[in-house]
Amino acid sequence: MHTSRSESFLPLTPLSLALLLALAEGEKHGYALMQEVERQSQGQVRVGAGSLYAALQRLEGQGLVAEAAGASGEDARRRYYRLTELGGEVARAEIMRLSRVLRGAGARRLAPELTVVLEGR
Amino acid sequence: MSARAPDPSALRLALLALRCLALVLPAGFRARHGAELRWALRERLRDAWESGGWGGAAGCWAAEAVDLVATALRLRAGGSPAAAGGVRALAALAVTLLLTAALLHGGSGSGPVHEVYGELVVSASDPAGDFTLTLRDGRLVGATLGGEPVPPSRLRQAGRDLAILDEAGRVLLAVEFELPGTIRWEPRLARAS
Repeated sequence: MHTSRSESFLPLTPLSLALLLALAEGEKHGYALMQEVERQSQGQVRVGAGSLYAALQRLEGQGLVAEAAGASGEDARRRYYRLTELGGEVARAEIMRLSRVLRGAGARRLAPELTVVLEGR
Repeated sequence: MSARAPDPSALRLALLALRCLALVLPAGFRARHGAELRWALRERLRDAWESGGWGGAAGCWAAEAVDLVATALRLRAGGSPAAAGGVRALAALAVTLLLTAALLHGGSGSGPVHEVYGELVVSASDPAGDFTLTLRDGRLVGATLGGEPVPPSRLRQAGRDLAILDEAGRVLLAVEFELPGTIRWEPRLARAS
């Protein structure tokens, strides 16, 4: 079975996916990411500062996230992060995987009828 | 309830405790993310305070403290922690526990109203009569009921919560001090003549 490079990172942890999705909107610093994860989950998920930076360090090490050059001018404590090309591919692959899970759940009447159309680039 | 201005000394103490706790994180991690981490913690605590007051800040503080310890354990489990690192971690934990105890004491114990400097006399009345409360540098130092001074032994204070007790130690009047310089209390009933 062929496994693409992006699929070798799957499945992502919920926090990793949430961070990649937040960064898909654009560069963000750590505290903005904490707020965005909370907003995405409608307040159900609160990520602590320690967990956030540990996750960012891991994602950076995997090449999915990188420090954005020159964006931290206003405050040296604010380091900005951006999604790498690989990070975008991995996020899309994870979403495709989750859509297959949803379709399978729908077929077993464990989820409402869903029509999910996702196209990989 | 309206937003409250952050209590600078309590927030500083809470942040200091979290910074001490952050020492349990591996040195390399702190070197890379330490400044950002401290900044994010400060922002989060301040936001929690502004939206939820003491309760919000305390909940946020506890969640962040647990998260820091859990993160440190996860990161350290990935390698072989040096003995020195373990000792430092324990020391940081001990310091944090001490500071936490101090914080809790200051937050809900016998601490003053931090925003009051100098002497402030609050006069008010309800169906039971007039009363005054005198605060000096945030501490309740005197009171009168119906113009009669209340002995200091019958005054109680826990932060912004002030109370005048009767001779049996029951609460006669409970007052919450609100900023800026206003109070809120449950009016006493008129005394039967």
